[in-house]
Amino acid sequence: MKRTGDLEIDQDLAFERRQWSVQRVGWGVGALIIVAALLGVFGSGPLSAATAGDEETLVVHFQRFVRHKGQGELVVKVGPNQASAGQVELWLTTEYLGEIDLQGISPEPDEVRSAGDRQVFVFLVDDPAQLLEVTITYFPTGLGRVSGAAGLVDGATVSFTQVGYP
Amino acid sequence: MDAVLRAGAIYLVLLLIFRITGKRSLAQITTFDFVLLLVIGEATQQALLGNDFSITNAVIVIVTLLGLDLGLSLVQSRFPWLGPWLDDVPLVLVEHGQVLQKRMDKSRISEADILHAARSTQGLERLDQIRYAVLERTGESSIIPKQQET
Repeated sequence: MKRTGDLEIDQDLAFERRQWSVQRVGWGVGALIIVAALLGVFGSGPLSAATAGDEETLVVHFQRFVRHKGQGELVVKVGPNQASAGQVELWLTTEYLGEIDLQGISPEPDEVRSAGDRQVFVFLVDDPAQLLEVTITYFPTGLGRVSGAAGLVDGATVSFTQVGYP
Repeated sequence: MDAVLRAGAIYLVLLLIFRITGKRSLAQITTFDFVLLLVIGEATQQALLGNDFSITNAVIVIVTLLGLDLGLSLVQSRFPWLGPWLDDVPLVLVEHGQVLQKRMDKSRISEADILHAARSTQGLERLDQIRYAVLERTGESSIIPKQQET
């Protein structure tokens, strides 16, 4: 055992100095994590909110960064006059649906069907000139880069990419 | 498998956070520190258990956490150089009544903290009655009074 004066103590000043330096770096990293979290790098926030698509046809509001089993939300806005025969047929890729745990769709679709690698949600609309806003709530389950796409049958397609944190 | 990975990740993150915040972090627990500890426990609980509230999952998580703790102590005894990184080292803050100010500042310990420890553990009244004050690995301050000199 080392001695410091009369004390038998395993004091190690060289280690202590290294540790202080590492701790200061750690504090800096902690501060950066807090700022990044406020900005939305780990979930909801200004850097996370993203929009893809065209207001006239189809727009998807999504979060760039989502957390595993956290609360996720996709807002899909279907532009006016996109309905055919009084219905809007909106699809999401089954690949993307496999990366989320779907919690709810508002308004509820009148019909849901599979079409190849897509899941089609059919909404009956009274006035085709009105904008249709569909909110999809889910728990993200995919980790890392998750690609998604939404579209209208025989219409516009919007692709988006999210990053899923554990 | 999921439960073991969750517990392992949380264990490592907590170890890292508490080592980075330093000896002082939650060693001398005030009422607020106690509440803070409870909140930290509450925040980690969900990440540890996920949506599985079964007894099996709880047992797996507890066994993993204790196993990691035991494992690290075994690794530490085999590789002693890891000890300081995992458990810290003690630091002398007062030597023969002289305050080592730079060490105090770096450790975020004030003279008031030393005097508090001196009063509460040794019944001392002044700094010059202290022979050594040591900030222990646990974050507590040990006081060795001058009158104990033989």
